[in-house]
Amino acid sequence: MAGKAGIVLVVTILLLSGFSLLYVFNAPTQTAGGLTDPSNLPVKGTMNITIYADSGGWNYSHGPINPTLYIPLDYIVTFTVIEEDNLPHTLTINKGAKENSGASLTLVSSGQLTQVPGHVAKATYEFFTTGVYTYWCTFHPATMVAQIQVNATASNGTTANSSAVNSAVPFHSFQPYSNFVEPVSMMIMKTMKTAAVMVH
Amino acid sequence: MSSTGLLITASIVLSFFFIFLFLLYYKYLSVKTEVDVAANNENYYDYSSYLIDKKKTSSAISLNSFIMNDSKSIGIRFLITSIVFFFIAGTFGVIMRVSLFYPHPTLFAGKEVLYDILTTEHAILMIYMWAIGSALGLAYYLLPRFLKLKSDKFGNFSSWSYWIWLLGGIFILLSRTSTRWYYYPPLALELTPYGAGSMNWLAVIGIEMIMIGVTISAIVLVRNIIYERSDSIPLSKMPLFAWSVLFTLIMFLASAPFLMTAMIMLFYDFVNPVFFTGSSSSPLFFAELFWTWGHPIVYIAILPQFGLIYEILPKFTGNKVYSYTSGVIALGLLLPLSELVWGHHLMESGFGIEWGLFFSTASLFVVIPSAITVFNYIGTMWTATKIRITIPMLFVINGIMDFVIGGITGVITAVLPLNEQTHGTYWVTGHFHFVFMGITVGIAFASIYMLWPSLTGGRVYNRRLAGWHFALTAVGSMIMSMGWTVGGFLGMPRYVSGYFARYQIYQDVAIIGGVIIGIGQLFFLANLLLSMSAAPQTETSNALEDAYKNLSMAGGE
Repeated sequence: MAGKAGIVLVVTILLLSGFSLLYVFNAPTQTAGGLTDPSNLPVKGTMNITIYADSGGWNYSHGPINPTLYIPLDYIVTFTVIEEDNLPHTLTINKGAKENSGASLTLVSSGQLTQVPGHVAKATYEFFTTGVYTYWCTFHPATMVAQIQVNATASNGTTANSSAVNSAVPFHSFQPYSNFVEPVSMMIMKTMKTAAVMVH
Repeated sequence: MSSTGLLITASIVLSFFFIFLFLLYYKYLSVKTEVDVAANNENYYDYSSYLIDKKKTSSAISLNSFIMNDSKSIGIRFLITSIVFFFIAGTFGVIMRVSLFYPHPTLFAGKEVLYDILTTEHAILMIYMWAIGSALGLAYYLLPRFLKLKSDKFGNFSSWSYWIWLLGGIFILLSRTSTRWYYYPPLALELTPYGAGSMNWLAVIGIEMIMIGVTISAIVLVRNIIYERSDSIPLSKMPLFAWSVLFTLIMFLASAPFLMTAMIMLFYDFVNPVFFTGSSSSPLFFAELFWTWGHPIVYIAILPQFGLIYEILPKFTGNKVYSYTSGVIALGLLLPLSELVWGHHLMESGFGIEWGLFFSTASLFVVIPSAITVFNYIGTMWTATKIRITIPMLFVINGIMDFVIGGITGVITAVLPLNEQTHGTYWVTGHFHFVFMGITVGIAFASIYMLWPSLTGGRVYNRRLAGWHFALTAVGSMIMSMGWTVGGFLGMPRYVSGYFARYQIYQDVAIIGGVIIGIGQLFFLANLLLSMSAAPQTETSNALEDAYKNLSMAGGE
């Protein structure tokens, strides 16, 4: 019994030391996931993207929900984020097909985008490497999450509202937040929208 | 991952976790019932006291130690865990040292923040998990016999304290914090990789949990020493190790609230920075709170080992400790002094020449109890007719020597003018590595070697491997700390992943020492593996636990 315990102990010590070292070596070593724009980037053009921030999903009441954005490389993109409900939102991006809070860059913070429906916040950013990015809201990562595709060629120069894009999971089949968590806020939001229409 | 996938994964993981918990509980119940029945038959009302009196099985390393709540099992838990963390943090230390081979970062080029993480994890895990853990483990393991406990109560609390402490350590490891071990606020509040690390808040929770765990243990142990001590042992005859544990834990209970309060305030500052970085406050306030705890902790890390030296020495010299009374007084004097000298860590912070002089003078007074202790050791060896040189004795002699060097380098750096030169340099690193490698590491291993037959169920350690372990640890730590001390005196700054090229010789010497220490610890593992694979050779008693008999006996050394 004790003999086995000794072997187990030694193997545990060696394994744990190795794994701990590997774990530390995999620590994030860049702020904002290395996404901050370096200076002196080449600029090939500009483009504008307007997007509505709603806890049900990006562009929840404006066309396709959580659209995939196609952005050419080295274009200065101006993101115009419009508050739709009265909840805090951020526009946060990171490299990769999934949201990753450890290596993310927040373009629009909840302080810049106030919780007043209709408020507009703008941020510019230039994607300097190609690949798949994720843009999401740190407050609603389950619903407000979609991809950005950065391509080297600016052939089609598409915009955010292209109807060819959609996320893989149909949104309306599963709505955890709007169905269970935030019915009250949705109700308030709808009331305020109605009120806004009536004022106009 | 979609929400559905997340839910499914979480439920599967939770199910396995609950199955594991159920198995653990089943094992606990079956073992506990068995021992309870046996204890009842022998007219013991709690199984812990029965195990300590009658059974030797609970004193060996096994998985049962993790589910039984008697003092010995809890001691073994703390010991095993602290050894595991010693090797984890030691690996960090060696890799960190190797990365400093060239003046410019090469191993961590472009990601120097890894060096900061390794430094921080090495420091925090070594102090809170290894130094405190091994001291608590040895205290739990040895005190029942030393004090001839009347009954071994509150095992549940000790068990809780162990798990909280362990979880705290795991949190600190998982947080990959790079805030240095003192958590100074403007840096500690920046949750970025180049700040304190993205998950530094987890490290703050981890420290808080470690402190809560050790506080529970401290209260249980102090209660054991004061109330559960056998009536045949008056305070004036209590073994010196019990005295040192008592003083250490009182020191802990008196100074830990400062850190716990500071950490709660720091955690609040993550959300709403008012306490340390607000307009009406100062980061220096945190530094003062921290060092009010931070100085006593370095005494907490060596005081139990001072007591252990008093217990180990007479076994190999064959006589009594030279002066019992002065030993107790010296250990006790460190108690008030430890709370009065914390300012010498902040001498360059600009809190005024008066305070500087006060803390400088107070630091000088620490020499008195330390010197009494060292001369007590020397007197014990001096008056011996014959000294048996064994592996634990070698560790003890090396520890005393290292402590003298480390103590002197420490005291002269507390002198106000010299502090201008040595503050924030490798001199300080050299100073406390002399003390910690000699006393904390050395004496803990000396005790483990003395307890070897009991811990391993009657095995004998391989003396050749143990000798190599001792030699490499002693020589390596001497080379490493000496390289730092000399380089630090010339102004080599610590805590940085690169350095000026003119310091390369001192860094490289320290690297050689560090690698030698690392190789030395592998001999300990090999020893553990070899001796435990062999069949039991002796009885499971050991000399160290027999506190009231001086001469060495069979079993152990």
